[in-house]
Amino acid sequence: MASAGSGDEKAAAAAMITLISSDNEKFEVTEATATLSQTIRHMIEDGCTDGGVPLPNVTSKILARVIEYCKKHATAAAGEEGSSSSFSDAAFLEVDRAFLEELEEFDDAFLEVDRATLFDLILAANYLDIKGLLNLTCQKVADSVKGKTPEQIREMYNIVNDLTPEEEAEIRRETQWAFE
Amino acid sequence: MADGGTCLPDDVLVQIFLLVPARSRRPLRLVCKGWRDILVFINKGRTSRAVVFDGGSRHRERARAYTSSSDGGRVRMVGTCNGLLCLHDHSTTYAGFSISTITVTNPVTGDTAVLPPVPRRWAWVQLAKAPGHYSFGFHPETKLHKVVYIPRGHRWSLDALQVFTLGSKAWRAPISVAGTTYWLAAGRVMSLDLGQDERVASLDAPLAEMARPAPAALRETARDISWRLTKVGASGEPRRRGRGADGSVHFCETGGCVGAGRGRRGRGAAAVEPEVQRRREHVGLLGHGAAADARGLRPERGARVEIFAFAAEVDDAAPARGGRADGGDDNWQRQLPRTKGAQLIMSKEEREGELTTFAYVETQNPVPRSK
Repeated sequence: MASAGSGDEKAAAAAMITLISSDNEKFEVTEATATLSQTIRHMIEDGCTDGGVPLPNVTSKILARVIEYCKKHATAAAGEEGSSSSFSDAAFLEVDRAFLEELEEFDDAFLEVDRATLFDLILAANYLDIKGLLNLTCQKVADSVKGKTPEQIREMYNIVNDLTPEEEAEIRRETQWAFE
Repeated sequence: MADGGTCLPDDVLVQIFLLVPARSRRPLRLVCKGWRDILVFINKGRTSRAVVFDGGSRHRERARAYTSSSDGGRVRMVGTCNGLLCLHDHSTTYAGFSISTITVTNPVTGDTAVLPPVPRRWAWVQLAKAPGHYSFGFHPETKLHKVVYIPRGHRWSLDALQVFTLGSKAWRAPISVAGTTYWLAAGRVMSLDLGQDERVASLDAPLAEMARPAPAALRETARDISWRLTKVGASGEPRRRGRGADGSVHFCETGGCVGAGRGRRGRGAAAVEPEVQRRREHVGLLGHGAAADARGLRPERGARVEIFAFAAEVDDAAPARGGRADGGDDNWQRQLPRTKGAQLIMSKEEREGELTTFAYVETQNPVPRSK
C-alpha cells in the first residue's frame, strides 16, 4: 500500500485471499482487508497463502464478523498508509469526516454482541493480531469491570472466587487506601 | 474469566486490565487468584516518575513526583504557564495503542485538575497511532489557560484541532478557522490565536528543505514527521490584530529534514522565520515557550522567578508507588497520584542530559476548574 489511490481501484487491482474457517467455510477477501491482520500479512509476505489460509481457531460465524470489521476499517487504513510516504507531495489525502463518524458508529454497533461472541471476537483478534479490533473489544470488557465490586465482576463473568480468606485479607491490606 | 466455556488468555487479560483506569484496577485483585497474579505482574512492570525540582537555589523541598497512573506509562511536561504545569501522562497498551491523560497542576500547592480525554471522535486516531501533540498556553487578555491538542500526522484538516479551556467542561474545536480549511500540511506554519475567537492562521513555512525529497537515510524520519506545537512570541505572530503578545500557539514541523531557515517567503513568513529559528535554538535551553512566559508575566509581588527542571524517569526496578488518587469521578480519570513530601530522583534522562529546564514563576493560585 505504498501509493495512494481510491479504495475501489485498489480492490480491483489487489489479489484476493481465501480464508478458511475452522468449520471449513471459505471467505474471499481482498489483500487490503486481510492484511489488517498482522498474522495474515506475515503469511502473505512469506508467500504461503496459496490454496487459502486455514484458520483453525476461528469459526465461520466469528470470521464473518471479523471480516466485516476489517472491510470497514481497511479503507481508513489504506488512506493512512498511502500518504505517509509522500509527505513532500503537495497532495494530501482528504479525510472524510463523515466516514470517520460512520466508522465510529460502525464500531459501536459492532460491539452490540453477547458476551460469548465478544470473547470469541477478542480471541480471534488476538490470534489474527488485528490491533484495532483487539483494542476495541478489550476496551468493551475493561469498561464493563470499571468501578464494579469484585463480587459484581464475579457474577458478571461467572468467575469462582478461589482466593482464601487469608489471601483476600492480605490483598486488602496491601491496597487498603484504594478501598477507602 | 469463564463464560460459556470461553476463557481469555493471560496476555489478553493483561491488555484489558491496562485499559482499566488505575484506580478501578486495584479492586480487581480481589476477584480471583488468576486476576490477582496478573495484576501483581502488571504492577511489577515499568513505572516512571516525572519530577519537578528547584534547580536554582538547590532547595528541593518543593520537589514533587508525578507518577504515571499506568504501569509502563510516563509523564512528560506539555508546558508551563503562570506557575501551573501541564503534564501529559502517556502510556501504551499491550497492543501498542496510545492512551493519554492531561493534568494541570500547581507544583507549589499540589492543586491538581485532570482534563477529560479528547473526544472520542479523534480518540481513535489517538489510540491507533501515537499520543498526538499538546500545548499549554495562556491568553493574557481573556486570562484563560488553554490546552491545545492536535492529532499526530499532517493529513488531518485543521478542524481536527481541539481546544480545552481550563474552567470549562469539555474539549471543542477552535471557534474560527477563518473561512478556509487549512491542512496541517508539511511546509506550512500554522498559528492558533488563543483569544476569544480562537482564530487559526496559516502561512508558508520558511523551511525550504521540506520541499525536497528526503534523502534515503532520512526517509524513516520523514515518515514519522509530525506536527509539534510551539509557542512563539509576539513578533512571530503573523498578521497581528492587536492582540495580546503571548496568546498564540504555532505549529512547527519537526523531524530530520527541518533545519534550513532560508527559502520561500510567503505572506508573513518573513516575520515568523527568525522567530521560529530562534525558538528552535531555544528549545534545548528553555523549552515549552518559557521565554515567552517569563516575558509575558507580571510576577506576583515577592514571587521569585526560578528555574525548575522537569525530568522523566523510567525505573525498571522500583515498585509501583501507591500514590493516593484524589477526587474526580471515575469515568475517565487516570489521574496522577498526588505524592507528598520532597523527593529528588535522578532520572535516566537527567543522567543522559535530557533534562528540560524552564523559567518558573511561583504562584498560590488554584488550578481553574469547571464550576
